[in-house]
Amino acid sequence: MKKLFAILLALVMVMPMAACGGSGNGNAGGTSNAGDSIEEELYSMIVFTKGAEYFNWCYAGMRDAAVTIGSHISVELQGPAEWDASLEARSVEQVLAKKPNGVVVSCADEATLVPVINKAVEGGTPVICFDSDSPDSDRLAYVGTNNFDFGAVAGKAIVEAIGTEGEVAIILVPGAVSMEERAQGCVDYLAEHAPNIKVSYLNDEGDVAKAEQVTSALLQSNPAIKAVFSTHGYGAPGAAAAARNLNKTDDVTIIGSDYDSATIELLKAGDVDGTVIDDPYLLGYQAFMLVYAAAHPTEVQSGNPPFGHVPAIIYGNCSLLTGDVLEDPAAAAKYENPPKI
Amino acid sequence: MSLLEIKNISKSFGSNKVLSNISIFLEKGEIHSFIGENGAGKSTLMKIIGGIYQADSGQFLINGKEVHMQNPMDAFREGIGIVHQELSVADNMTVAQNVFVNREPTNALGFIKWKQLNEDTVTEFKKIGIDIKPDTLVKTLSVGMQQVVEIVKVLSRDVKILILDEPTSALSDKEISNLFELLLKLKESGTLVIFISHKLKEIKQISDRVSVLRDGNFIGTLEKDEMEESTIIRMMVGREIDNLYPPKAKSRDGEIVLETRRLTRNEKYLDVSLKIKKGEITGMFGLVGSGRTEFAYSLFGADGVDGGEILLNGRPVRLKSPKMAIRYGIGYLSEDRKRTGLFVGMDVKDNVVASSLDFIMAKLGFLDDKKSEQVTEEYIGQLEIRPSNCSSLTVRSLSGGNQQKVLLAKWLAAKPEVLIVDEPTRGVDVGAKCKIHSILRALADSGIAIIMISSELPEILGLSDQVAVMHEGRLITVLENDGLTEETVLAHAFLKGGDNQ
Amino acid sequence: MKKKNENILKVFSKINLHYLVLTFLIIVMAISMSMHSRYFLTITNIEVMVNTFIMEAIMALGMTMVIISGGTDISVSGVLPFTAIIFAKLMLQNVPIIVAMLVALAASGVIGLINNELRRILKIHPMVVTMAVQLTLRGLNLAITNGSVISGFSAGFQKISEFRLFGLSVPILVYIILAVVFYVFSKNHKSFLSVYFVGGNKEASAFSGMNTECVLRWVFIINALLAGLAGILSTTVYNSASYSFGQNAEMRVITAVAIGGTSLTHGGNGSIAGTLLGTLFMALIYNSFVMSGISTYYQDVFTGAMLIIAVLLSEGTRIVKEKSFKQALGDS
Repeated sequence: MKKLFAILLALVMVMPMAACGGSGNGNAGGTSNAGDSIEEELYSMIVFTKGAEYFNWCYAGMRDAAVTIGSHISVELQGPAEWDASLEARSVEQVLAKKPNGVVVSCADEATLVPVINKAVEGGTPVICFDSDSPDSDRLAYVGTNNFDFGAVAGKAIVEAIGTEGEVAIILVPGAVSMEERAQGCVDYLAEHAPNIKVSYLNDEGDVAKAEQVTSALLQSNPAIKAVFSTHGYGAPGAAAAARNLNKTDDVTIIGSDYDSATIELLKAGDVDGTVIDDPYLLGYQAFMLVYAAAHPTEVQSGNPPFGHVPAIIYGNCSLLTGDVLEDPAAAAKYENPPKI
Repeated sequence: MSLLEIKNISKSFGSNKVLSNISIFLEKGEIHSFIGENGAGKSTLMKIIGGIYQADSGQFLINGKEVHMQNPMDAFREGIGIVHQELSVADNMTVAQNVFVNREPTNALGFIKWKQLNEDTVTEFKKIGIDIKPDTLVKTLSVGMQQVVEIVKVLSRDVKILILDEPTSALSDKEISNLFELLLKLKESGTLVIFISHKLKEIKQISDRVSVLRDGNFIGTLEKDEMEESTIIRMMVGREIDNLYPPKAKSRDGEIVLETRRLTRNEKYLDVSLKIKKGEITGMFGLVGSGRTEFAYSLFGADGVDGGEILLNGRPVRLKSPKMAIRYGIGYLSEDRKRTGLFVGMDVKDNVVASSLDFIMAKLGFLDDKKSEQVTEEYIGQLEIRPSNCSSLTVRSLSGGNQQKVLLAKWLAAKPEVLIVDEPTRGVDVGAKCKIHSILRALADSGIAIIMISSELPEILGLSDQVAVMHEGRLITVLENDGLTEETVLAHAFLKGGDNQ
Repeated sequence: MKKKNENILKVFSKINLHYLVLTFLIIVMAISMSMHSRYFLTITNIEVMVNTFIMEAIMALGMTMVIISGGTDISVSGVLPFTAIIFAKLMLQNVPIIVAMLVALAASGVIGLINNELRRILKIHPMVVTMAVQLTLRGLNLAITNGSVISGFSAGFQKISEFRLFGLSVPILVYIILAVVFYVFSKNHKSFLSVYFVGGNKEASAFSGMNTECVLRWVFIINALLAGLAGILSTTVYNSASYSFGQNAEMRVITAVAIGGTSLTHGGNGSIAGTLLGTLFMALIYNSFVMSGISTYYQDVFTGAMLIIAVLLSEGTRIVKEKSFKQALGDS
């Protein structure tokens, strides 16, 4: 019994010490230089699936932006590991209890975080949404990609690959607004430039294995499918695996989204024909700059007092990344090394 | 030189001295029994011999050489094997797997040779005259047979000293006589058999010598011709016990409280017609498989009825569940107290109130804690349950006899009109047995009807006012206990004679 | 000599070693967190800490009962969003809030009944049955909502999330009432005591005259009702209902109950008091991690470790208790 006590005690003592060295904080320690009277500031990024590569890029952008401001800025990345909107709302609440200077959020859905965002803003904490918006909330600004344009890039790539006839499948997770918008953007482009193309939808629940399954099923039941566009990062690898298993790699054009490592490898191998990318790093960078500005009002008249002035929306750009671009090692280096958070 | 010499063995648990300076000589080729009340120390002594506990002081000498047994493996190496009272069979495995556990015959690659395993098992069982299918799953066997498996498991290891702790408590008479034959054979081949039992008759029958322990002390050893029941009891208890059994019912004209008419349950029992009067004890005797427990289940609503009727105070009733039976005033003290009777992980107090939650204790559904405490204390005192402050103790930590008393207390608390007790003194020492018998008689005297299912003829004859004998599901006869002898009852149980058929 | 033994017996039956250690750990954690961050002991943070775990806390009350009865219920993480969705959809159809609530709750109760009947009729272990139900519900939730979140309720509805009595929000008030009721009933009421008996030895409880099936039926129904209640409360708090609510909640709930000392392997023991402690402990952990900035990856590692230690502690204290009883009584 005594041994057990000692072990438990040691465990509990270790925890706060681990916290002091914790990797959650991007900043080392909190001691300012002697003579420096700048106050410490904390900014938190909350995402809805912590650990996703995409969000790690966003956080890297935010972290780098913070460094340019000064060493008195600390940033952290929070959020649940599972996609549960209520859990994300709770994460935001917990972060708010630490009284951060600002919060940037990518929302699991557009409604569930409204109360907590409003509470933050009411309490004087500026909130900027990025990547996935919550437009009905009181958030001060949104930095993201215009998903319709995003989808249109895919539509253009498809038409260039298969022409104006045939069938196309779009993979998405119903309910994820950004994916639905991307799908819509693709459909609109096709409707305008290749109205004879038929579009169908596949739900893979955001999971690679599921993507492989549903794509497999579709390709087998419908040989007329000539292209597949996945509106999220995990769909293309799954679809590529399905195509490979059915020996249809050359017959089906696969366009993915974002550039996580799996997709990069498949691009280089030729199993995936292209992926639409935006710039998550830049999104995170911008989001931080906006929230910093909002936290530091100047004498310029602000659009949302008492916070500093920020524009309501900033859109980042999107483009098509193909395998040949990656043949240049310098270019490849940019995409191939996701930050380790 | 003795085969086993126990020399000045003492053992304490904490501040509780369990064995004081025990010194006994045990010889090869003898059957030596140990008897004593609960708490006397006999189980502890056996466990020390078997290497499960270590003595605080003293020595063991085998053939004059000192031995140290730190664990059961050491004991086995010295040729000592114990068959415990508590079964340790793996009931999801076959008989053969249990008997040869960890010693299965294997081929060079380590795979078990099933055919040989099964054949060896059949051979071992034949040694005690039992036919068995070695691939039978142990959990399908009766408790009695499971015990036999346990015994064979140890016997198959070629032991010089065989210790049996209460081996016959769940065996049928035929199985017991087979066992005794085997023990005699072992004795002839030079094995020392140490036999712990509560049953005086058996001890007298089989032992060459008997040693008596009381309160951790060695009282004495009796030779075969000195084994008088009264002597042994006096040594065990330290005083005379005049009447082992309380006097029978004073008056026999109570009304018929429970009656069955041609009660039938397919494949279990057939056409059982029985009249149970208030204030009487009806003993039910029969060999294993005679259908008594199944009959009791039907009376208790734990099993259905396919034909005939049950009348309670003259009115026919359909007992659909134990809950209903209890509400009608029928209680049933189970044969297998661990499985269907007690909540071994819960307190004594919880166990005592378990059947009375509905009508005796509750107020608005909330248990009257004080009242349940009070009732528990009452029964602890009345039944002499030890330790006396055990109300908040887990039942698991009580001895077998005390556990049985707790189970009895549960049914007393439910204040039944008819109480069926199934093997009420199994695994219980003489002192507790006496107590339980006198309680049963006191209950009967207060107007409750008691049906006592038992396989111990002395108990049946000692306690019952009338004896119902069953054989293979049929009620053979009901005999008035007026000068009834064991032979008569047995004869009916074997269907061999008797004038009342 | 006898007196010393009696004292040992008395002491051991009064204090519960498990709760002692757990309380000690909670205090130590609280102290070290408040030393580490000045925001820890603020009212805001305490409120946040409670809010983070309140849904699981409510479900833990029912789950304690299920686990004591010898089973487990994985379906709660499906029932929570299911009920929230039904509640939300009804309100959007302009059904009065109270009616919508009752219908949604009734639906969750039906799920509980289904859980029990499947277990009873198919004779499958409740873990398997409730897992199957959970998967079915998850699929249903997705299908009903088509993946989108439901929102846009009346202004009156939004007032519910703002309501405060003595500074406590609706979910907290509901929890306090439920916790008290469960505690009182678990100590002394025949209904809850039967759960202990059924969990302790199902056959013996039937032979003691209890209606075992009836007890189990109510256990599962009540547990599902609590999960449904958590779903309805979630809708009031987040002003939305989504199929994503409650992901993996069943793990957090079961862990809280296990840390509180209720044995997952042997039915028939455990207590609401322990669950209250276990819930507090979990809430502390989840809060401490965010407060101190430790990566949430380690959160699950820590929780897993605590679960193992809790099980060891609970089995260990049981063995210690029995051993000292045995010694005090003297084995014979």
